[in-house]
Amino acid sequence: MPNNPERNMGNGAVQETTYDENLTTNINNKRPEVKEVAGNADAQNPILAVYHRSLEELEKMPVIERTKTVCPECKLIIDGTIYKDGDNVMIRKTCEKDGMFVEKYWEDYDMYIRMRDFNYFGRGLDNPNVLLKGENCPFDCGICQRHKTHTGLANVVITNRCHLSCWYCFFYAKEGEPIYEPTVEELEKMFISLKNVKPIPANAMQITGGEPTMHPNVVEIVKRCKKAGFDQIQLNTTGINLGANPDLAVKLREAGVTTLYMSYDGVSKRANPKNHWETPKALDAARKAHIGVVLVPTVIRTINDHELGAMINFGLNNLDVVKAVNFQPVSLVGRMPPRLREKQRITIPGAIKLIEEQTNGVIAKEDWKSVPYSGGITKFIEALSGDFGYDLSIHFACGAGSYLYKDNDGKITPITRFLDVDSFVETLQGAIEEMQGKPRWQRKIIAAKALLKLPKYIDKKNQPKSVNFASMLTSVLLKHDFESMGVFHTRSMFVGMMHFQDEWTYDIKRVEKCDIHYAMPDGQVLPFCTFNVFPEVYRDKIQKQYSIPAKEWGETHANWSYASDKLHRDIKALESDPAYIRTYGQMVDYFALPVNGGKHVANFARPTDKAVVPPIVAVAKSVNATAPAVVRTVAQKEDSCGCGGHEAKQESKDSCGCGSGKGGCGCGNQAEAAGDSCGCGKGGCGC
Amino acid sequence: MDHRTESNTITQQDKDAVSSYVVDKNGVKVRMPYQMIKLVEFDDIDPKELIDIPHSARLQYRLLLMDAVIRCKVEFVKRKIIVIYNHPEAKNYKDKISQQQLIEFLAKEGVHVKLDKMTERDFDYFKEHYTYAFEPEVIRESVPYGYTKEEWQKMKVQTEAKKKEEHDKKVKELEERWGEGKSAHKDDDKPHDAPQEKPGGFVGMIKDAFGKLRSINN
Repeated sequence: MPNNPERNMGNGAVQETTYDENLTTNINNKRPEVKEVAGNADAQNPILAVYHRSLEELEKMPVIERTKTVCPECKLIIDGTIYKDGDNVMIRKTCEKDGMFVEKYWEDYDMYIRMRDFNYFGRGLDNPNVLLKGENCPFDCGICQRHKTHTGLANVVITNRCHLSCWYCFFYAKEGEPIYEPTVEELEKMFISLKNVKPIPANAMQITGGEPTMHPNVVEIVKRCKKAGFDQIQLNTTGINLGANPDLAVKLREAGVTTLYMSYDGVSKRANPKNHWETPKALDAARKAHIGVVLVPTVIRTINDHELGAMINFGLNNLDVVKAVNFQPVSLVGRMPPRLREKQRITIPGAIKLIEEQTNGVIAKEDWKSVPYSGGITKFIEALSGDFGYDLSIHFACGAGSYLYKDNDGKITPITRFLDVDSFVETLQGAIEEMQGKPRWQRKIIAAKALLKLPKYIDKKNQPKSVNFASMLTSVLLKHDFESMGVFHTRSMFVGMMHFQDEWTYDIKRVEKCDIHYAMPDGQVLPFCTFNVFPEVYRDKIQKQYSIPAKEWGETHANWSYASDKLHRDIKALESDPAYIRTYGQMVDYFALPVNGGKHVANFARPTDKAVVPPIVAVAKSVNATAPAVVRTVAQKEDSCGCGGHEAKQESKDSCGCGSGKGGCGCGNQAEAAGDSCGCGKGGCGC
Repeated sequence: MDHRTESNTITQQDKDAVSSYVVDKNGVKVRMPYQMIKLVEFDDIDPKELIDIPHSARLQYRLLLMDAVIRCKVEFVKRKIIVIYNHPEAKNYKDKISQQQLIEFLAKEGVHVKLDKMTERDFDYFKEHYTYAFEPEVIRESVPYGYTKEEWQKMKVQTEAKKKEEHDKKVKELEERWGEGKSAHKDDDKPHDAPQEKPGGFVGMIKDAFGKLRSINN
């Protein structure tokens, strides 16, 4: 803790203390010189060494760009320098009072430079909710006219009640806190407000919480959202209630939910104490209801970063219902010791590199493209249609993605291996420039010529055996026959990355381009990285205004208590459920197949000393029969509910803890040590 | 009064205050935490006290930390501070702050306001903040990519009418799909029961027993 800081105590009181300038006021400012001495393990650890540079070394690092950021301690807007440190891109900022902060911005310099090419400004909002110029950004939000990007994904929190108590989450109502649960009519107003945004209203909505299925009127809420005009409705959920009540999943599907945005922090119990046991039933419920599932792991180094490949493999094993795995490197909000923050920090390239290692190079870092990469395509469609198209003009450092195709023999191929995406995008961009100033009929001819060039960008040698991509595109574009595309879609899975900011990595240039917006009950609209990074002035403040005190809630809701909302889990019953045994016990390790490298994903199966490892079962029919048997069943008995990750065992006491808490999940005693550190915002990302 | 620190007893007055609903122009009843509050404007602030834009932004952040401050704006260039706050006489039980407390807070932050350059008025939260945020004015007009302004003006009415027609058609189809008589949807507008996993065996027995005890006590 900094010595003698001036602290705003809230409610108008400021603790004034003396300030000794001779002392370092922030322990981050202690920069020991890097010496080759035994015991200085952190400074020599390639992952942590970037945090332990001397001031002289830092000043010599090449500067990439300058930006504006905030001091994590006092929230002063200060200059930030984005610089290169070896293979890392770092951000450095110095507060006049709180000292210097250094944090990882992007863990791959080459990828940063490559993705930076696709970065453009969108149109912003023609009717901002607050008429402010935004010179005090990010404290002028609501959303102001300075914002550069329209709403790409709208988020609405429908309740702050949750049946879990995840140690890193700040979204759920804790004991004594008021209940935030707007009525159906109030929520409908928010939906309509989002659809009235000009020039490009949101078309995708994520209904979140808390746990949204705790809201008793969630089905009606979805229907109102659909009626307001949202084509895509996601439900951000743990999946637990849907697994227990599949009929609810059917009703939600019929009401309009198209995707379950489901938290899933790992395949093993240790990595995912949140919903490891209920996930099989949740997937079955999604199958019954024909809802696609997006698995959303929050990635934390030393906790679950060893299971990234395993999670992708899990998704591939459930490809009939899992449409995407969207990794979210952790956003570290709240107070935490710097050393812990350094160890747990992971950025998009860090996760991408781990995925490459853990999938035998099948999903290489070159296969990932940044989100604004597709900007050219949307402009192309807009110039043809005459209607405003979705403008994916978010900052390139915010997200990345790739598509995987699973062939009949189990081979996993990223789409970039057989489709020259770069040339395709270049062709479209050329066409866009050519279309400028031309009349409509001429634009259509230019567009047709560009589209007809598509087949030449397909590498027929490397394309999956079970798909003729050129023929599929021709059917879609010329005959408007989408059946073959549907077949392609059922065998493909999107893998994505979305990294939300926190106070250490905050870059105001990124915030003003954010396209994930929260609608608030007072009419304001807030980007994700203001809503969640400064909850004390946005999320918590506004929700508290519109909340109902717990006592009154209890009076109007019979038999309600905080405890009654919480999940009680019978692990033994869940582990003996046929869905559980089938889902975890009969997984194929696709990356162990010879066509995919022949090496198991990390932590595919971890038998313990106590467990009896069941015999290897023959390979499923759909997989090449000549391949070695790779199906293993996961050990039946493992310690339930622990810290995620084998490495985390050592770290568990002084790091994030998920001890053997109440209800089999949630904060045990170790959460005391963790305090309220380590956060990852919900809604838009899953916790 | 902070409901977390004061007595837990909620009076009828509190219930009336917290249950104050407002009906908007579309007939929707919405919960309104504030109604008539205050807006105070401090003009002619010494720029040396505001220091610069980043310090003004931080002062704005510190003001917003107070629950009683609903919105505020510290304008360095105009040398002005505007605060919308929940004053002590406001009819609600949310956190409150007086004008004097605001002035003292600003003084602690190093900003000494001039009382003769201060103006205060009533602020209708529903009309001026809430309604505006839900129905903001259009400040500019954008044109689709590849089109000129004149082209867009010609096609705009048609494009928007077509979009509305498509939307109305979709809503009609949805309503038919969800219509009465369809047994799957007959209870959609009623609260649903989203059961959690019920533990069996010994754990379930204990839970049921405690549940019964709680209901007896209540």
